[in-house]
Amino acid sequence: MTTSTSWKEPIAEMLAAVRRVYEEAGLDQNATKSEIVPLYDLIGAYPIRVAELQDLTYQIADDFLRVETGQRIPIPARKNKPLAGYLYVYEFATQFYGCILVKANDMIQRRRFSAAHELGHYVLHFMPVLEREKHRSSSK
Amino acid sequence: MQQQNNNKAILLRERLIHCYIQALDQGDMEGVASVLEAALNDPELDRLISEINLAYQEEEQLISTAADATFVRDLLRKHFVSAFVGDTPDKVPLTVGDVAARLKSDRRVPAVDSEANQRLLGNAIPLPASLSINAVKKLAADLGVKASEYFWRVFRDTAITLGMGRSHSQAQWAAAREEQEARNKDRDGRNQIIQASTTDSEQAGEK
Repeated sequence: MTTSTSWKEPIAEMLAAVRRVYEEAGLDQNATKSEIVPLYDLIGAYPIRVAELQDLTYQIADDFLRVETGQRIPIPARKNKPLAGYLYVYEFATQFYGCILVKANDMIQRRRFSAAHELGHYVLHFMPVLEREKHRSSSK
Repeated sequence: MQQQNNNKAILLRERLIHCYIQALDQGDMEGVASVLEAALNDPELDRLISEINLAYQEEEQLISTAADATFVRDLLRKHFVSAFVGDTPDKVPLTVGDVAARLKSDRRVPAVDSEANQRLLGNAIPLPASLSINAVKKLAADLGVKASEYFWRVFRDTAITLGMGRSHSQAQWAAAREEQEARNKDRDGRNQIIQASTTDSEQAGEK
């Protein structure tokens, strides 16, 4: 019987990403291990703001971002679908400027989870795109 | 003379297309209507608008919406260069004064910090691009302006918002966690509605 080790790679990748986020935030990961994760300090390492909105949906996210940024975001047909978390980012000044929205009526643990989940998207999925783009521009 | 008139017509058409896209993006129906009115007398403008509409009509999901809008915008920038002359707001750096002005106009400055914000108005120092908490703390120290921690937090949030607003972005991305209602039965056989979340990640695609 062979043991699959395919799960090891993504976990190592995630742990490396967590280390990177702590470094970016200027925090010592080991020093905070036994404490509550300083989530909002970690998010604050990037040009991201967090806002909590009642009964969050795509439509409510669009309304909020339109008032705040003056830009409209594309919303899907299921615009009133309840959301736990939402992240929208724009490229500006060679960075991804973003806003994490979480459902204000969720309990605190879940709001933190939603915000952390969106930070995960930013770090694991969006940042690599930006890095690739920067690399491509610099190699031109 | 004829050539000059043709160039003028092309330029006008390009500008109208640019206005049309902007009006669509901003939900400005009056702006859309005025361009459509101009297209009544210009078959070429009408054809271009039809192409744009077709691209927009294909939007059903977030992923295609953002990607297509960018695609259209990029095509316009590529083929109608003159319509975008001087339209590079993402190249203009945000300044401390920009943020202070927005805070003032939105009345988000706590009374205790109003003097500090007043001092920042008109300050042309560019903001650090990273806009991290640490970068804003350093900026505050460099500026030598004393204000509450809350003020600098709102300052940073507003700066990020302004950056998002100024972006005529090459890239926009989105991710969403949708909630799903799951109906489970407990051991007594009673129906119990619980909120279960699933991860429904939708990346709006590179623009």
